[in-house]
Amino acid sequence: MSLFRNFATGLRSLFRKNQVDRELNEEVGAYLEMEAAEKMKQGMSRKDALRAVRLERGGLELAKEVVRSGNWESFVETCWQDLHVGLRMLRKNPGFAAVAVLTLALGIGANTAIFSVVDSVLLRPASYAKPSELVDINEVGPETAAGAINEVSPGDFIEWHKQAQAFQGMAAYQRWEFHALTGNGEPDEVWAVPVTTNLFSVLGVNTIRGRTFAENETQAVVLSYQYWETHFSSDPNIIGKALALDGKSYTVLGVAPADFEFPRANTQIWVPVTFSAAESADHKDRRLSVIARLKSGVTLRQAQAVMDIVSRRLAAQFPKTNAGWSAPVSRFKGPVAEDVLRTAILALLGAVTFVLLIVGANVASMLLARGTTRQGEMAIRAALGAGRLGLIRQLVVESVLLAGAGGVGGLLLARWGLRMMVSLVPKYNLVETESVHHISMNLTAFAFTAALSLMTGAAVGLLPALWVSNLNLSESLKEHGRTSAAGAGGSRLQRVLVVSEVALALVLLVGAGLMIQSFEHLETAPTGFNPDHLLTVRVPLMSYKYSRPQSADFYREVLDRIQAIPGVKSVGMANNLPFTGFHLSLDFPAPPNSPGGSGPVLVAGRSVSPGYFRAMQIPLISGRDFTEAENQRDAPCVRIVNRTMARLYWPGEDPVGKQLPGACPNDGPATVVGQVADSKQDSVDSEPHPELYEPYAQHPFASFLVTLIIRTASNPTGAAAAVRDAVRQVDSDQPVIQMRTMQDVVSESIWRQHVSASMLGLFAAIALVLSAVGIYGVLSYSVSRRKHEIGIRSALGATRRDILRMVVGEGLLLTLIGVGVGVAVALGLTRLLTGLLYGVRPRDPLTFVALALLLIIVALVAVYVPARRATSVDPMVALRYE
Amino acid sequence: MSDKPSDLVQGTLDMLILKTLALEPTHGYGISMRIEQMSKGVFRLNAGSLFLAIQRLERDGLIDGEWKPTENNRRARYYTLTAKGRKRLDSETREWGRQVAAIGRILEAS
Repeated sequence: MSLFRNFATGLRSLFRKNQVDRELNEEVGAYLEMEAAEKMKQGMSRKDALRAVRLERGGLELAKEVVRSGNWESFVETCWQDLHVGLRMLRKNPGFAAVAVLTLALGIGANTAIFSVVDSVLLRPASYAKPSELVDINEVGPETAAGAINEVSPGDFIEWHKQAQAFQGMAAYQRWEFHALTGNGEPDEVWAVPVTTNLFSVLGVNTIRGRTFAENETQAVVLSYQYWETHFSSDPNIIGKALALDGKSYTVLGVAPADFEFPRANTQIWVPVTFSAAESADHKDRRLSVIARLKSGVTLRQAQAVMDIVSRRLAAQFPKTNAGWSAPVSRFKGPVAEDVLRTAILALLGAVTFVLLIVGANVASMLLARGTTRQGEMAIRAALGAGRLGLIRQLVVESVLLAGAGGVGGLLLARWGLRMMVSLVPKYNLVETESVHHISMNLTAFAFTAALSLMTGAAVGLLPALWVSNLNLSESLKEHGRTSAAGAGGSRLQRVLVVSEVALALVLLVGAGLMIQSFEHLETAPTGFNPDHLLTVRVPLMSYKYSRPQSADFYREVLDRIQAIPGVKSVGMANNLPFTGFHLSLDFPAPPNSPGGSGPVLVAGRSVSPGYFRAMQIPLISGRDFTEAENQRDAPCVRIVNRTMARLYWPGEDPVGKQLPGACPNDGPATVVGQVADSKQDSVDSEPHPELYEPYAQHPFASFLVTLIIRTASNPTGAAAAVRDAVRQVDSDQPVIQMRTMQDVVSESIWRQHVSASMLGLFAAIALVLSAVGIYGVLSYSVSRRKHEIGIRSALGATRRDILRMVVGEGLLLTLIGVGVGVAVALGLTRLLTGLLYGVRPRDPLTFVALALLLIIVALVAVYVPARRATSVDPMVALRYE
Repeated sequence: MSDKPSDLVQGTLDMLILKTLALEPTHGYGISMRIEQMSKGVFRLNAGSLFLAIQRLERDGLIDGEWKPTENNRRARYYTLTAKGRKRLDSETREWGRQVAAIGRILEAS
């Protein structure tokens, strides 16, 4: 009640300020008048009476001030006034304000952008309930090579599910599955993952619309939020609608939450998988991934003990398929960002922190310089009765104002920066484990900016504010404008700030320099094939329409038609394209006397068409390419090996004509007919694995990654339309997707390095400019403060050269100290970039020297301007200036 | 006791103002005069602290103010005790009595 009354009265005096003020005036005035009247009754003159009252009771203005100080609205008002004064001060110095706001905007913008990335890529909280209870269960057999993805057979999964008592629930899913979605318009593919119907309940995730699968439900799908959003425009009535997958009709059951990504960020649809009686008894076809939820209180070790017992029981029961197989249990990691990306993002996070520190140092140094020149103003204010607290508040309000404007600017810059960054990320990334494309500025990032701007403002404002307000009144009034003790302390602080700025800038420059060089090395690194004039396009075949012999015929016809297109020099096909982050790995028995021990070897397997090597321009070392006659289902089993594989299995010998036992679908031996040069499979910065090529029609392969490679005489994109037509002439419903040049494939495969090099380069450039501005600011301030001294020096005979040398020397000294500190810090920090660097060492001396020189040169330019100004000081003017 | 006016014990001014108004509604100067007379000149208020206290009491709803003409044809704000103010005065008077008695006993004990 009284709180409300207080608030209402307060509001009244805020908004009807004049009237309230008049009333207070009248009331206090009346009081003083009455007292005076009393005194006049006792015989005083009116003048004396008023004077006596003022002495005894205090003057009208003082009384009013006291009364006002007692209410909350006056605090609001003072702040408002401070704000007004602050704005006026900033308007009076538009140059200062612009530089400070821009500086802050850069720092805050960079930090907000990178924070958004960190938040949505690295911190992304698991969307599953109690993620610590979730475990992955694999199957490892005697022949499993280290590093292979271990999967589980449906029979084993069903037995585990029945027998293992340590789990609340156990679900299985298939990592990869493709469906063609033929709906309206262009036939398009959709990434669908078959899961057991209990997957959502094991993960503890609910749909935001509709429901998840019921037990034994089939022909139904759950959509990912992103797929629902992009392909169905967030249709609110989607539940119950039909969806055609692989020519069959499915019912939409529900939509998953926006942050649910399983097993990968690009999964668009989940379909239920059920096992036929034959599949349930199949212990050999290991193709499932298994995730389980531990019963509460059960440890990983206990779960492992249970699984060991189950595995032994299965080995006894099915010795043919399960002898020697075990089932390791490990914590479920979820869709985590891969190492390169994580390191890259952390490097960027470090870089923006440096930028922010530089920004802070710069703005603090600017405010400090300005604070010194405003010493006189502060002294006058203090003399007029402003308290120390009031002065500090005024200065802090000013810097918060700057930071606020900087925050708004930063938000805009961050938006722009994020958009630029996302545009550097390729759209087609088959194993995109990151939700990089979903990055947007989020509420957290906005709150972060707001807090950051305020904190920066307060921190930056407080330092000079404390010092300025700590001044000795009469000293400052007297010495205003000349060197004072406080001034010396301030400029010492400034020097420290400049040295740290230079050091930070150097660290950033070196980091960026290394990353950019590394990226350039990657761009020009040999791949083993010739990516120029190559067009690639994915032609995934719908398995429900084509049996395997039919699909071989389909591709043969498509290849023939493309070969006939004018301007096409050669054409090939592979079941997956190098550099797309995906290749088939085969466990191969180790060669006899292998140096790597007797464990199985991981060999990359690729099914190709005759002509693939010609189209890719992978040189043949010995033997020959596959013939069309060999590219038949029942043709004799032949293989081509790469150089690494040949050296591993037949060191010093020509592999052509050798036998590879167990390499054929019927476990029979294959004959090596050719040896080709190595080409890189995964990325530019990885070494080639042993690789085994087979004619595509000889071996069953997953058709969803099939890619055609077309070598053209001129610009490869010119052939795009003709290639699309050629495929459509064979089958008009056939999806033709991801048409792009091999150059793009290669450069997109190093997008992480591209993004981090570009962003680091940008941040380093910002740091360089900011530290130059910092050096410039400190020296101009120092010169203007020493005008008097410089005047005396030149009056005493110092030449312009002497003065130039003095000022430049001062700047150079600061820069050199900063460079020294920066080199030391960089030597320690660049080690952390090791995982990102290719073809350049983290302590590359040339990079260090070159960038230190660059920084010194830029610093000298920044120093030269104030130095010139110093030489033009007229001794007469300078001496009379006081 | 020195002949200079004393400072009021912290927090007692509010009570004194309430007490004054309990006798009769009056304006700021009236309050000030009455406190001075009743304390025989020991407590002299300056304008600032008086009106600060009045503002506080009014906002807390313990007193009500109203503009009225004075005897010599000026306008002044006359303050009346509210029911809430009277209750507060009673409780504060009782509390004050208890404290004074207690302090007295402590001082006499030595």
